[in-house]
This record gives sequence, structure tokens and C-alpha cells, in this order.
Amino acid sequence: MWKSMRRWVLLAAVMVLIAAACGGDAETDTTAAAAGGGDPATPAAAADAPATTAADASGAEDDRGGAEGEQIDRLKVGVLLPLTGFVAGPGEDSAQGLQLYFDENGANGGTEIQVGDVTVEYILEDSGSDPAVALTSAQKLVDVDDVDIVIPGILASTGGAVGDALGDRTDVLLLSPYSCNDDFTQRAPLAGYARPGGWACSQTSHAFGKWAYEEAGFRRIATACADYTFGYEHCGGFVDAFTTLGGEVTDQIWFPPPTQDFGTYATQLGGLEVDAIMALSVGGSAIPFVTAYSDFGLDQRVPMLAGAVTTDQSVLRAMDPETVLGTISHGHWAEGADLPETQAFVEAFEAETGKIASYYAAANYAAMQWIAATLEETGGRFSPELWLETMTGDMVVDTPFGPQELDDEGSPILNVYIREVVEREDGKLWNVPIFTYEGVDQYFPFDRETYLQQPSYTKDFQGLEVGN
Amino acid sequence: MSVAETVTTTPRSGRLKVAAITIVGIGALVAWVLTQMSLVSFFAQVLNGLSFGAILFFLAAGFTMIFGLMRIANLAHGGFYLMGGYVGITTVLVTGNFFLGLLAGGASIMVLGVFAERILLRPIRGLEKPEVLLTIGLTFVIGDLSLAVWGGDPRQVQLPEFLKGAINPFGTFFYPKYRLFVLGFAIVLGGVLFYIDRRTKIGAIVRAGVDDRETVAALGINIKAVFTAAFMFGAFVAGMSGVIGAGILALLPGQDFEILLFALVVVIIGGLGSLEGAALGAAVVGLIDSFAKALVPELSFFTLFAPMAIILMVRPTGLLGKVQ
Amino acid sequence: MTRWNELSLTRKVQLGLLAVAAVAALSIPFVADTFIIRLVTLSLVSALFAMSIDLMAGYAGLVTLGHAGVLGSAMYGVGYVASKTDGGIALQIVVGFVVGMIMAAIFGLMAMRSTGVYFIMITIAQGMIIWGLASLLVNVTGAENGLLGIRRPLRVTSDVDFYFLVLAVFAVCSILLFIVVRSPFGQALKGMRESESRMRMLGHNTAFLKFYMFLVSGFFATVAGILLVYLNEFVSPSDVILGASAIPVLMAILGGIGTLIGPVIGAFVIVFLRNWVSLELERWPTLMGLIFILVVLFAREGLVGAIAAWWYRRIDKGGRPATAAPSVLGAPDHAEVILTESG
Repeated sequence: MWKSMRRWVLLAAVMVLIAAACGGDAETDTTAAAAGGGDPATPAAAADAPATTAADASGAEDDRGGAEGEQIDRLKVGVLLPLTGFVAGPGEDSAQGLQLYFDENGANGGTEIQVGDVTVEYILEDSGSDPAVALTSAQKLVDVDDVDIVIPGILASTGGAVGDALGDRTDVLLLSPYSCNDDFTQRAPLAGYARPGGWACSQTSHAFGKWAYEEAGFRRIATACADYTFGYEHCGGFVDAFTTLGGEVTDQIWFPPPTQDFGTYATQLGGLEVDAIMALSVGGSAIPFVTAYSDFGLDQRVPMLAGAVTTDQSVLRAMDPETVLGTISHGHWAEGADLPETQAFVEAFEAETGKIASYYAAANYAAMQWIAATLEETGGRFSPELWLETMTGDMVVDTPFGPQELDDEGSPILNVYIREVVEREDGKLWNVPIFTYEGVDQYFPFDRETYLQQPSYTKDFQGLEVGN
Repeated sequence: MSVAETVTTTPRSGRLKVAAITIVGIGALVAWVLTQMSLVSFFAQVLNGLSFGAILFFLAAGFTMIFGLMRIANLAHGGFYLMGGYVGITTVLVTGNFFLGLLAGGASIMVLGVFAERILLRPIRGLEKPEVLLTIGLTFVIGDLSLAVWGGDPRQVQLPEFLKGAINPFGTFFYPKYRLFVLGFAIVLGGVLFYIDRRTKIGAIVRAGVDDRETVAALGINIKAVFTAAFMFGAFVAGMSGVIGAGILALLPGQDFEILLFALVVVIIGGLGSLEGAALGAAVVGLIDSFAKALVPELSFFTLFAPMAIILMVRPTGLLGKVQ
Repeated sequence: MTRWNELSLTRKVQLGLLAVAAVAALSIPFVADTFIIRLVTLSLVSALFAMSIDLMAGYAGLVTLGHAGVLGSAMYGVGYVASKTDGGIALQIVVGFVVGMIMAAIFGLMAMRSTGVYFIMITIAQGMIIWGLASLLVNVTGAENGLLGIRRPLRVTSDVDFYFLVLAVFAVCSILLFIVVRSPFGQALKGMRESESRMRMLGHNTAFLKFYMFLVSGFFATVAGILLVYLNEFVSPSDVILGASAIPVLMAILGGIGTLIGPVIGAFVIVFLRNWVSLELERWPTLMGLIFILVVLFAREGLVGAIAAWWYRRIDKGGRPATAAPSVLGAPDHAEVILTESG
């Protein structure tokens, strides 16, 4: 009897212990905090704490190192890239674009260059296509390597997670040439964040929708897009611009982003009476989508208007020319653009890697150009606040994408190319512009105030109200 | 611990009832579906489902064969698929011959399979859980080495000219030639496997091996050699299915786990170790996937797993699994 | 209470090591930088999760490869309340806990009638279902983008404070697990590992036993999930992929399956290996796969088993039974002896 009761007594004792532990948290915390603060090993954390609370409390007005900045002799850039996992392909391209910049401006294969009196160094970490891994790696970059700038990976999820986690770090500047979530620079701006070399998800497709109506003369269109945030914003931008001008969007098909077998959707699309189909499939599903579009004979009946990454080099390389030649797409990157900056980069990249440069390769290269240019502009001074002010000022950087400047929110104003997949002289496929919109900002073709009044694009809100 | 212990048998009288309910249910479902779409699209979606099911059958056949004979749940099957596909793509690029690619994809994985079976799995023969865990480790290695060799860009196989594009028999009904080819190929392979299984001595030995290893060994048959042969064959089919699949789906890092999931769902629904089960499961999963995407797109993932969950609860060994 | 000098040498060494570990755990924040503290915190959370898996895989002999589904459900429960509603910390934790436990119960109902390889495959499918839901239910889970805006409770926002919280929870959960594995329930789980049919003949309802096992194990997985979501302040589908379930199993095996200390050691080794090695070596998944293979082939008792074997050979010559009943992975089980020896 006693034996079995003893167990319950023990259990009860443990419960009391837990309660005590929880109740005692307050004390533990204060002592721990005091200890942590007094510890010489973590002065940064201690210094951060008050700033964080202040920033949280006041909302927007936070101190990011002051507008003056300080003179530095070494600038460390922490770069998170997916070198393993399902976006390892774009990750590799990005790493090569990054390395190309350092090869051209410093020793071959080195990770350091000299900009004026300042040594710029990059430290590359694998984000494993996994936000949880990226978070740990980001922590390592800021705590151990003490970097000044973080480039938070390719995936929107990684960019969001790292941006969210480092938003409190007033000593770190976040530059993202990839993750394009509209609201990061619109309705819910991330603190200490800008995207030189990047784009907003609906920015390029706004222009595409305008082109489809005004230049191509399409009136009835269906969309088939990946069922997640990027799909909503990218296709929403197209639909919003197209319907505002008077076009009609008859059907919107959403498929899960990792979809591989497009048989069902191709059959559905084949049954629609439309002028064209705006399609966005990403990464691993881009190739099967384009193949299915051609295999089901759709390409002979309805033209496809492809999203910005559906015919990107990262997937175009592996596509069968017969399935994809002539496909119209759009984007802020066009490797076949007749600009000296673009062609210089494409040639150099191909000489180094044997591949035609994808948007991912160009983005990281452009980000590095921005960093070097800003460093020259500030005369070797750095603070996140100073840099954000400088970058969003009247700087214009000639990147492989064409000339770019940043608007007040840190989002680029850039060229949007309407492109066609054609065969280059050597038989390789690439995207060549057939029409260009210059100086497109993230609200184009709407004005900022009207645009910001509507909610961000979701599956349920594609801007259709504006048109009707 | 044998499977038998966990399985409860359905009484024979209940079977008829179950069959009747199933038939009525399917009939009602088809009637409802036909109110939602035209007969032409219905037919097209059936073809879509069956051709996707054909790919699944290639996958599941190899998996279920290895399991049936050796009781090894080879979780490296997805890895086999991935690497076989990559080898096939490269072979087609170099030689320009699609069918050589099929062979190369299968053969390379067969070699890998022999290595895995002889060197890695034999020392832990009969220990179910270590075998499963080892094959998981193998998947990580295969996936990562494939990434190192072939890079992370998504890839597809170059199809021969006569399999590209669509047939258009009535002028308005476009259907891809390649999907029909895959469907036909699966039916042929299935037929050959059934023939070997039911009508030849090899089949008899293999079936006996599934039922009672000790007795087969006592009859003087080298059961180890039979195991190796079965594993080789299963690996060959897995590698080949990678090449076949790469004509419709794309190969990329992480695909190994997704493919493994599909194989698991198919064999769990159909019944582990049963070839007929693999065929039935593949067709069921393919059709459900195809129609769910069209009719209830938000639930398409659920509709794949809901039948599996129900079958597991009612019949833990799957539709055609052995109830011992 | 037993007196110190009545204890066996083995027990003395164990207690000594425990004391060293406790001192180390309490002093780490004062000697290490925040990155190391974060890694130690992550190791402790992983260890707790690995222990919850080990309760099934090690003690009951039922290997699960879908337990991240439970962990992840708890994470999403917390994350949903934190980022989509204005619920406070208490509500977040309650919802996370309830969602995690419900998922554990559903998993249990689905898998309680199966065993062996079937059990493994069903659990894989369970984990993948949660992954599918996480990637598809955009409005609830944010799909690929995950859930942002999760914040630690105000008192433990700093990494050091949070570390102490995790340490405290970890310690309490370890004690609870220690009690569980020595309870009649724990003994019944072990009995099921030896022979399920024998347990049934002895009058146990093994299906219910498995269901309870899912609940108990799910409790600890849920706690680990709540800690993990506050550690990362983020949750996304990659928290519930197959690897997220398989790696903790690897941790348990590497350390020593069927023991409580094994998963802890394994968790520390894997977490630190991953974060240190991946700095130098791009091919981390290959290394992890090789560890998997080598451990399964050559060290199925894990590090703890190897150390225990060495210890008994040295100290207690013949004093201990050289072999116990066949262990979970089919090899003689020294590790079992060293950790379940009653004082």
C-alpha cells in the first residue's frame, strides 16, 4: 500500500517543485539578467536590452546607430544561402554571383576586397533551405562573427524569419536582394531593412498586367498560380493592373507550390475560353508545369504569360527547348538584355561557371555593388541608420539589372522587362526583352496613396474590386 | 514479432457487405463527379489519374517486392528513384537515347542496391528496425551526394521525339503521348511481373520465400541469393522509375522524400508485400489525386491521406495485404 | 533514503557525473557567448524531444518517424495564437499544449493497432500529413512563409534567461520521465518490447497501452515544441519534415536507445556537430547519414552502451549480468543495466 502511495507522494512533490520553479521565475530572471548584464562576455546583449524595449514601446522611432555612423576599417557582410535542401540550386548560383564580385574586385577566390580604406569581407553560412537552421546561422553571424550586414537567404520564409529575429538588433543592417514580400517595404515595414538588388513581389507583375492589356491586346485571361504568399502577391499584381485597365480575369486556379503532376490542371486550363494564361510556378514545379503545358498541346492554342521565375535561368537550363521556346514572361532580370552592365556580368559569370546567369546570381552581385557604392558614398562610415538614409537617398547604381535606385521605403525602382525565351547563337536558351518599362517603383502603375489603401494581395483579394 | 499478431480478420460474411457498400459508394461518387464536369474532362482526368498512378506503380512495385520477400521497408527507395533519375538524365544527354537512359538509371541503382544489400544490410539481416534506420541514413547520403554531383537545379529527362507533344484523335481532345506511354509501360511491366510470379518456378520460389523462409532454405534453395536477386530487381525498378518519372515530374533535392511518401501511401493502401496491392493502391491514389485537385483543390492533400487513415484503422495490412 | 557509502560504486559515479553536469549547466551562461548558449538551449530542447521519442522507440520498441508532427502541432498552436490573434502568453501555451496533445491522441488512435515496420510506416505518414497541412493551410499556418511575430514571454526575452527557463523545464521533465520509465506503465512498455503477444496473454490491452504511450510521450514532445517555438520565435513547415522526426531518433540511437541519458548525449553531439561542422563542411547531410549507418552497423547500443560495457568490464567484473534481454535494436543491452538499476 505504502509503496504505491509513495509514488504519488513523489509525483506531488515534483509538481510542487514545478510550481515553485515557475513562481520563482521572477527571481531567477532578475538574477540571471543581472548576471548576464554584469558579464563582460555579453556587453552587446546588455546594451541591446534597453534599446529593444524602447523600440518596441515607441514602435517606429528607434535608434540604429545614429545618422552620423562611425568610421570603420572593416565591414563584415554575413550571407545566408541555402547550399543544401530543395533550393540548393538557386543557392549555388547566388554564392557564385557573390564570389564573382569578390573575384573581380579582389584576389581570385578571396572573400575580401578593399573599398577605399575599408576592407569588406563576406562570411557565408548554409541556411539549409530551412528557416530554423537559418535562424541559428544568423545568430552565429551576429554573435560570433559580429557582422554589420546580414543578407538573409533566398526563401521568403527564411528572409521573414531572420528579418523578424534580427529586427531588434539595432547594430545590424538587413539587406535582402531576394525575399520580395510586398509588405516588408509597404504596410508592415521591417525595421532596419532594405532590398537593394531586389524587388517587391507584385512590382514586376503590375507592369506585366499593363503590358498584357495595352501592348498585347489581351482582354480575357485566366491565371494558374502557386498557392502561397508569393503566388498571391505576384499574380495579384498582374490581376490588379489588368482588371483596372478593363481586362477580365475569368478563372483563377491555385495549385500547391510543390505540385509536380500538372495533368489535372492542364486539363482544366485546356477547357477555358481565354486569350492567354498568366502562370506562376516556382523552382521544382516550373519545369513540370511548362512540360505539361506543351505536352497537353496548350502551347498551340493559348499563349502562356509566365511569372518572373517560371522561366528563370535556374530552371530554363534544364528545359527542353521545344516545350519552352517563344514563351513570354517578365521580370526585373533579363539575361539577354542589351545593356552593357548586363552583358558584362553574364559573360563574366559564364566564363567562371559555364552557366548563363540566373536572377539569383545577379541579385547577390548587385547587392554587393550596392554595398560597395554606399561605402564610398558615406566615406567609410557605417551605421544601419546612416546606410538606410544614404541608400534611399539619390544614389543610382548600375547593376546587371540595369540602373537601380531605392525609394523611401528601401524598395528598388527598376526596369521591368517583358521577355521572350529564344535560342542564343550557341543553342542555349535565354530570356530576351521585347518590351521594357523603365523606372518602375513598387506601386506602379498606381499612385502610392491609393495603392496603400487597399489590403495586401491574398487568395481572396486580388485587387478585382478596383476594376469593377 | 510478426505482423500476424496485430491483425484482426474480417469475417467472411462481412466481406460481401463491404464489397457491396464499396461498389455503391464508388458509383455514387462517379455520378456526382459527372455532374461537376463534362464527360470529356472526366475521361481526361481518369487518364491523368491512371498515368500518375502508373508512375506510382513503378515505385511501389520495387518497394513492395523488397518488403514482401525480405521484410525490409527500404526507405532509401526515394533516394534510389532520385539517383536513378539523375543517372538516366545524364545518359540521355550523352547518348541521346531515352531507352538507354532507362537501362542506365536502373542498372546503376541495381549496382548500388547490391552494395547496400551485401555490405550494409546483410550484417543486420532480420533486425527490422535497424534495417529501416540504416536505409534512412542511406537516403541522406544518396540525396546529398546527388546534390554534390548533379547540383541543385531541377532537372527533367529529354524525351525521344515520338513521345513528345500530344495526340489529338478527335480534333478537340489533346492528350500527351508520353503519359499514355507510361501507362502502357506500367501495364506491360505489371503483366510480366504477374506472369513471373504466378507461372514460373522463380515466382514459386519467391512466393514460398515470402511465406516461409526456413522451409525454402531447408529445401536446398539458396535463400540468400534469392534475397540479393530480389533486392537487385527492386532497386532496378526504382532507378528506372526515376527516369520514367522525370519525364513528367522534375528531379530536385528533397524529391526523394516526397516520392518515398507517395510510395508509402500506395503500399499502405494496397497492402505491403502484395504486387496486386501495389497496382490497386497506385490506381486508387492516382485517381484520387487527380480528381481531388480538380474538384476540391483546397483539400487535395487530405484526400490522399484520408483513405489511408481509414484503411489503416479498418484494415491495418491494407486492401490486399495478407491477413495472416 | 540511502546513505552515500551504501551506494554501489556505479551509482556513486553516476551521481558524481550528474553533479558535474548540473554545475556545468548552471555555469555555462557565465563563461560562453550567446551563440553557444543558444546551441546549448537548442540541445536541451532537442534532448527533451529525443527522450520523448525514446520512450516509444527505446522502452516500448516502437520506432516513430513522425513525432515531429506532435512537436510541430504544439509549435503551430502557440504560433497561431501569437501571430494571428492578440492572445497572451498564457493562451498561447494553453492552445499549443492542447493542440499538441490532441494530435498525440489522434496519432495514437491511428497507430495503436500496428507494430514493427507497419508502425514505422504509419508514423512516417502521420508526420507527413502534418507537414502537408502546414504547407497547405495558408490562413492558419502561413504555409512556406511560416508564422512570424512570435515573442518569448517578457521575463525571459534574453537568451540567458530563456536558457535558465529551458534548463528548469528540462530538469523537471527528466525527473518525470525517470518516474515514468520506472512505473508499472514503464515496465509494461518494456514488456511490450520483449513480446507483445506475451503482454496480451498476461491480460494487458496492448492497443490501449500504445495509446497511453502516445499520450505520455506526446506530453513531453508538446512541452519540447512549446520551448522550441519560443526559442526560434518562428515556426514553418520545415519544423515538421521527415528529417525533423528522423534526426531525434538518430540522437537517441547515437547516445544509447532505451536509456534516458542516451538521447541527451546524442542531442548535444548532433546539435554541436551540425553547427560546427557545417561551418567547415558543405556536405553535412552526408556526414549525418554516415553517422546513422555506422551507428546502426557497429554501435547499436550507442555511446552510453559502449561506455557502460567498458565500465562493467573494468569495475564490476562478473558483478553484473553480462547480457540482459534483447534490446530494442537487437543487441545485448548494457545501457539498460546502468540506468535502470534500482538503488
